[in-house]
Amino acid sequence: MNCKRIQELLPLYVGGELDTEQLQKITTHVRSCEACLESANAYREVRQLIHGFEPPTFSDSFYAGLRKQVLGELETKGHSPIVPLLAGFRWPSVRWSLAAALLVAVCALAFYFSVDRAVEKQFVGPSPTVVRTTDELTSNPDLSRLKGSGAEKGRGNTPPKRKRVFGAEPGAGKSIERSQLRKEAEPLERPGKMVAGESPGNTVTSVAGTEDLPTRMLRMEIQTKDQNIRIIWFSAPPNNPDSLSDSHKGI
Amino acid sequence: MSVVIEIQLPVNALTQHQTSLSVLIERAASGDTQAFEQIMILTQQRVMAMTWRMLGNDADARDAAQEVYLRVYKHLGRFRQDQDLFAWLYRITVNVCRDFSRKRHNHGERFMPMGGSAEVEALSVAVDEIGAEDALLQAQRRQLITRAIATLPHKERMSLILRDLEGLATDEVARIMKSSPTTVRSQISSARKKIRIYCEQCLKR
Repeated sequence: MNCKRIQELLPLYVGGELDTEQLQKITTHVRSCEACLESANAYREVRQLIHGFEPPTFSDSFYAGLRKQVLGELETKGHSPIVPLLAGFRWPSVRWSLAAALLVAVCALAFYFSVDRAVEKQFVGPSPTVVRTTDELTSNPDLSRLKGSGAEKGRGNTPPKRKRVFGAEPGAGKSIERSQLRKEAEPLERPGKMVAGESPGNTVTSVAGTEDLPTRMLRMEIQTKDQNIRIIWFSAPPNNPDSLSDSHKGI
Repeated sequence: MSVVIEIQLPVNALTQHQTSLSVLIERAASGDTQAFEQIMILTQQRVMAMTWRMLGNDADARDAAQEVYLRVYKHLGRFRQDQDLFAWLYRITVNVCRDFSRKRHNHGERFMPMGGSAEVEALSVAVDEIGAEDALLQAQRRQLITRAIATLPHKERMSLILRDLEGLATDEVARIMKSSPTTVRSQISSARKKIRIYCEQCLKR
């Protein structure tokens, strides 16, 4: 270390703020360098001078007055200690985080409800229902493939879940209401009769099983506008179409 | 023949003090003003000394101390029992004094050293006890260092006071100042250099 570097470190050297290695180096240097020793002594005097910067002795009455003033202020202004939970709201970072979280929540809710409404609109439109029997299924290889996919695997009684279709045109499909099902259930009792409706986009196909199947099953197909998405579900047909069983509650 | 005098110090004195303090804090946090007054009695000298050193006069120091206690009471709920009360108090004091300095700066005033009845009182006591010549010398030295400290920027003054006068470690000062130990060391070094230069210039005149 040269004198310049030592001079830079001397203010910290006199206060003992350096590490042991630097302390030893400077001590060795100061012993041999008169200018640096003089400078170190000057900084020691400065430290002593700083220690003399003491406040005056305030009297007890001064402190009593201070306390009285503080307590009086507390009573008049009605200050109360802030509980830790509420104290958090005073920090700007917490406030901003909460505001951001609230905004995101509001956006998510708005998105959820707007999409839900769009789906509702989408399924309300002119009747696109096509009800086909199993005879038709056997004659149409495409449909028979569909028949084999679900009914024979014993999933027929599974209550259907409502499926949302995004991006389809409004009015392209039809929502199947319970009252509508009652109307449509009647033709299903008579095999071979077909009830069909035109649809510009989505097609809903309902297929009733016949005696040649192990059990009479109601097969519902919804073909969305997208060729890759087809909703199929099975359920036991109602004995009395006017009184739907619990298995149809999901329809 | 040798006489052995055994002085038995209270072993748990510090622990007991801390326990009583934490009990007081708990009570004060729940709105007990008497407990808060007890806390004030325990800490008032340190707080006043700190505010006086930072602001340089009795009136401002008193106002600042008052504000410190109002803030302490307001935020007692945030104080954790594992925290050091005095470190927490110092942090609040530093913030209050910074606000006072800013206000003063906005009004075109700077650090206003000395003045006040307590100062005059202290000087008169010193004259009686030590003698006129020593008292005068001491008063001059005190005036010199007060003026020298008044020339320092706010952060350097804070770091210097906490380190050299309150006797805190550099790391503690850094925590109170919300800064790094390296920055604090740099501020302290700069402050000592400036005071040396100031004192040398004054003595040359």
